[in-house]
Amino acid sequence: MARNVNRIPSRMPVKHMQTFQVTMPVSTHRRPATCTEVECPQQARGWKMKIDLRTDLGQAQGQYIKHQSGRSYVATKLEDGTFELVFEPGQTCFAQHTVSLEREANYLVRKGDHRTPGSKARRHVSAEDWVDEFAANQAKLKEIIEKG
Amino acid sequence: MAKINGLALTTLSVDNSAGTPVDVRNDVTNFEFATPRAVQETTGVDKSAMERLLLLADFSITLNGVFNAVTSHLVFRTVSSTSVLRTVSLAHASQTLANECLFTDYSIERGDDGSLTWESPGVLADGTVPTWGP
Repeated sequence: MARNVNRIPSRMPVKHMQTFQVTMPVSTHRRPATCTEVECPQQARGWKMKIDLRTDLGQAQGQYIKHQSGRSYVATKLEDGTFELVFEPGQTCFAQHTVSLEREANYLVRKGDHRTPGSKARRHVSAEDWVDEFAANQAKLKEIIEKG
Repeated sequence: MAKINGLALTTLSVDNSAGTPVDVRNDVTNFEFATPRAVQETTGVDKSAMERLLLLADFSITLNGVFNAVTSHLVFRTVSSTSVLRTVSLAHASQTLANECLFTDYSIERGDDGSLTWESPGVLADGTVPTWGP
């Protein structure tokens, strides 16, 4: 899941850190959904998009939209050579929507932090146990710091 | 405790830029809270590290999710343009963990399968140790 994001660098060595984690992966906890199910604003209000037919991507997009998508739109050529497409409301958008399957999350504890994304995790069988371990760690930290 | 949306965690909310908590559970696929380990199993723990443990609190959070233009996007889209502190609240049964956080990024990425996902990291904005409590 590592991607390049802007973080304030951690100051504590990673070996002294641990991560309490709740995961609901898309592959196991979500299913595809329609625009109607998610109250998609693009379906409700319509949407605009720009394509550049001078690029391979733009040509592929244009081919799909014109010949396969089945959507209604109005195309306008812009001064910069691109095309603006305005799609009418009431049509399914091009996004892939998902909704939760309402499955219990995975409650994990692993060594390290974002610097060790593949570290081995322990899985708690219940949220209660996960919260208990998390709460105990935080209470102990507070006690240590207050004692000085 | 009845589960809401399949989560025994009954609350996972993040303040928007106006300070209003927004329930983002439906959009979140991963939530991480990194914290120092209170019990250091290894012997010979570096003295400077322990001193820092006593003096500083190193905590960070990371949220990952699926793009939702009407919920989580409205919360995190202002991360790059504002420096407001946001309360992140996590609750299970009668226990709540609430932290004032400063988010430092909201990164949206389109996967090879066409999915649109986001990641937003943050750090705790005050010096108190986050604890669970009623």
